[in-house]
Amino acid sequence: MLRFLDSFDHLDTTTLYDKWTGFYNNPTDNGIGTATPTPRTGRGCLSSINGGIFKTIDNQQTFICGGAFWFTGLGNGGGIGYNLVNQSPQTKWVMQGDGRAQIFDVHGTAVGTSSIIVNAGNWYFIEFMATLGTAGSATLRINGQTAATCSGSFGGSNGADVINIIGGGGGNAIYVDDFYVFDTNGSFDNTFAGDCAISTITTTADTATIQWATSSGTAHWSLVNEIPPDGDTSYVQTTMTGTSSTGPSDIYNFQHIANNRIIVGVQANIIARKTDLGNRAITLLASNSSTSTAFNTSGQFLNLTYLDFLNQFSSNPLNGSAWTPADFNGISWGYQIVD
Amino acid sequence: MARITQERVEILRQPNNTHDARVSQAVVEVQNQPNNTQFARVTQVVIEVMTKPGPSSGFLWNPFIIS
Repeated sequence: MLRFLDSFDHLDTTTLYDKWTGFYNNPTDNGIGTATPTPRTGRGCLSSINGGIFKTIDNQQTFICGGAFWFTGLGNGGGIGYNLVNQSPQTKWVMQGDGRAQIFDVHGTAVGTSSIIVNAGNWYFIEFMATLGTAGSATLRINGQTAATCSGSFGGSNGADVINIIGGGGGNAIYVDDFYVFDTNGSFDNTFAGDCAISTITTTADTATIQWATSSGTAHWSLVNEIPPDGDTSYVQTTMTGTSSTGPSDIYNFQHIANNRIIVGVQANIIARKTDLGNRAITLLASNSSTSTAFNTSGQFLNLTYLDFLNQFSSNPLNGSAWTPADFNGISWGYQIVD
Repeated sequence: MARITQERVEILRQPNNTHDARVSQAVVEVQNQPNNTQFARVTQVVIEVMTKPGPSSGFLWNPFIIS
């Protein structure tokens, strides 16, 4: 099941922690770069040094995550950790000075070494599946090819709940693009995805369902499509209240995906806040020509500052089937007040 | 013979004038909420799509987002 995506295309360094939970050394160690190196796909990629950044998901025994990695220098680390609380990796892979990644157990002992060598200054798609526990197992893949399999003591029965992109050391950044996290639940997105692109699409038009107010003008869709987000410069807002059956909604049409693509997963991002104290909550909406669904009927509760409210879909949420470009392109997305 | 080598008298006393009572801060903390409904505000909504090339899509990096 898809748990998290980052194209690193729709935020900037200032808004990185609207989406990611935190960092392990200094927030300025991490940022969104748009020029050096050229992002693998889209507008930007992550640049990270030292402890890097982390996303808290929830507790799982098995995680699968992958992305495109670029090492500016070798011998200074960079990799992925599956952590429990307090930055304690249950297992991790870390790039070594000879261009081989090594897999480490919970004690920090190397238990596996990649048979595939990476060169500095190139994009590689690296994926890591690990089942945690005292008799854990792990597999590392590079560009779709198995590079290492191993077993070891990958923590206890507590699993892990944090995905850590470990930055480069010695002041040498690593770069990451097209990043995904799966778990093994469900019938979709429960194993390696293989080499993928993650793209960000934006609004193109209002639908007939436009019930919020605008910061200026009458076109709602053009106030929520800025990349990176422009905060309180342009937005839509409402003071109206309601429930998932009565709350005001804004629904938009989006850019389409070419019909010769295979869609692996979809993540909706709504960057929202409330303007004063008290509770306000929203839900994501998806609708097509025949049905409409609200996904967070108990509400995603807003903060005073902007946060990225996420929903992931491994399959088409309107019919439960595998994604097709035609189905995806037929969906309009939006949000509704529920509190 | 009884002999006294030291005699000490301790006197408990107060100042004979009134001295200051001093207060450095007096505040009242009030727990409150706005009595009107505040705005819910959205500044960006985007969809991230994870894709692979299909059988006939050719080169991976061909443009595949259609505006």
